[in-house]
Amino acid sequence: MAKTATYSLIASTTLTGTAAQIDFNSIPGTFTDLVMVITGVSNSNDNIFYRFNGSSSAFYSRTDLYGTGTTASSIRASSQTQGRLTNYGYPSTTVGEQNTIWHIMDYANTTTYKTSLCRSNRASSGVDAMVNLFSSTSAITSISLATNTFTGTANWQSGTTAKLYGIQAGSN
Amino acid sequence: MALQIYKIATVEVGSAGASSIDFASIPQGYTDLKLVVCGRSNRASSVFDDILISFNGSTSSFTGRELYGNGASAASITTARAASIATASTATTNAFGNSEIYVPNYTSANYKSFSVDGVQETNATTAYAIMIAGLWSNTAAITSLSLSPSVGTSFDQYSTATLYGIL
Repeated sequence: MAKTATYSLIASTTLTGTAAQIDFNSIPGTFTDLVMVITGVSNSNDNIFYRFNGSSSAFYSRTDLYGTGTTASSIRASSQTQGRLTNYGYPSTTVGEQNTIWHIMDYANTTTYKTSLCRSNRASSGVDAMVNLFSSTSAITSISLATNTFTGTANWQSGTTAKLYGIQAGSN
Repeated sequence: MALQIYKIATVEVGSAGASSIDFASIPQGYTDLKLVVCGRSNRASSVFDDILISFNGSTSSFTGRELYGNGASAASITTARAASIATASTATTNAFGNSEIYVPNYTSANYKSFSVDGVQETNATTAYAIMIAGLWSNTAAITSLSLSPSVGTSFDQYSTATLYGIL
C-alpha cells in the first residue's frame, strides 16, 4: 500500500491591524508533528513569545545558539512562564524582514514533555537556532503568540503572518 | 487531508557541469518556497564553496547574517547573497554539500526574508555547518531564482536542486 504522508495547512493568519496575541485554538490531535511559519512585524523590535494551552506555569525552558554577524554564542533560560522563539532573529517594524520556522514534534502525545526546534532569522540583526521544552505531558491543543511578552498590549503589527501546518507520518 | 507541499522542478547537473542552476517561471499559486540543494563546486584548492542566490535576475539588495561552525570553532559573519554551501575540489570524493532554503510569502509585495540551513561534510579535519538569515530588500514577487558558486566557475556533475511550493 502506498504511503500517505501529508503536510497540511491547519490554519493561517495575516494581520491587517494590530493585535496583542495570535491564537491557534482547537488544534486537531490527528497529526504527528506541527510546523509553524511566522513572518513577524512588531511595533518596537520585540521578541516572539509563545504559550501552549494558555499555560503561564513555569514550564518553559530553552537553549539558543545565535550569531549576530560578529559574535557566535549561546544562551539558556529555564523555568520561564512563557516560551521564546527569538533572540537576535526578532521581528522588526519592517514587513517581510523577519521569519521564524518552528517544528513541534509529537505534540499530541500525553506521555512525554514537548520539545520543539526553531530557527529565527533577521538579516539586519542575527540568526537563532533554538530548542524549546514545555515540561508538561499534556497534548498541545492551542498555541498563542505574543511579541514583547503577554502583556495584552497590541504589539503585533499589520503584515504579520502565521501559518500552522500538520505533518502526518506515512503509513506502510 | 490535502498534500500541500508540491515539487515544482528538479535540476540535475550533467557531465559538462553548469555555471548556474536556474528555476524560471516559478508558479505564483503557492505561499512559500522550499529549495533543497545538493552541491559540489569546481573551486580549486578548497573543501568548500559558498553558493550564491539571485531572485528575478537581481544580485542587488541582498543582506544576511551567518552562524557557522567548522569542527574547531563557531563564528558569525555578515553575508550578502550566500544561500547554501557546497563541497569543492579537495573535499572527499563524491561528497556533496546539502542545504535547505525556505522563502516565506515569496509572492508578497513586501521584502523577502529567507532561512538557510546547510552542511558541507567531508572526511577531514574541517567541515562546515551553516545557518543564514537572509533578506532580499525588494518588493517584487519572486518569479525566478538562480544559484551559482561563489568562487568556482561551475557546479560539478550530479549536483541537484529541487524547488517545492508550499500552500
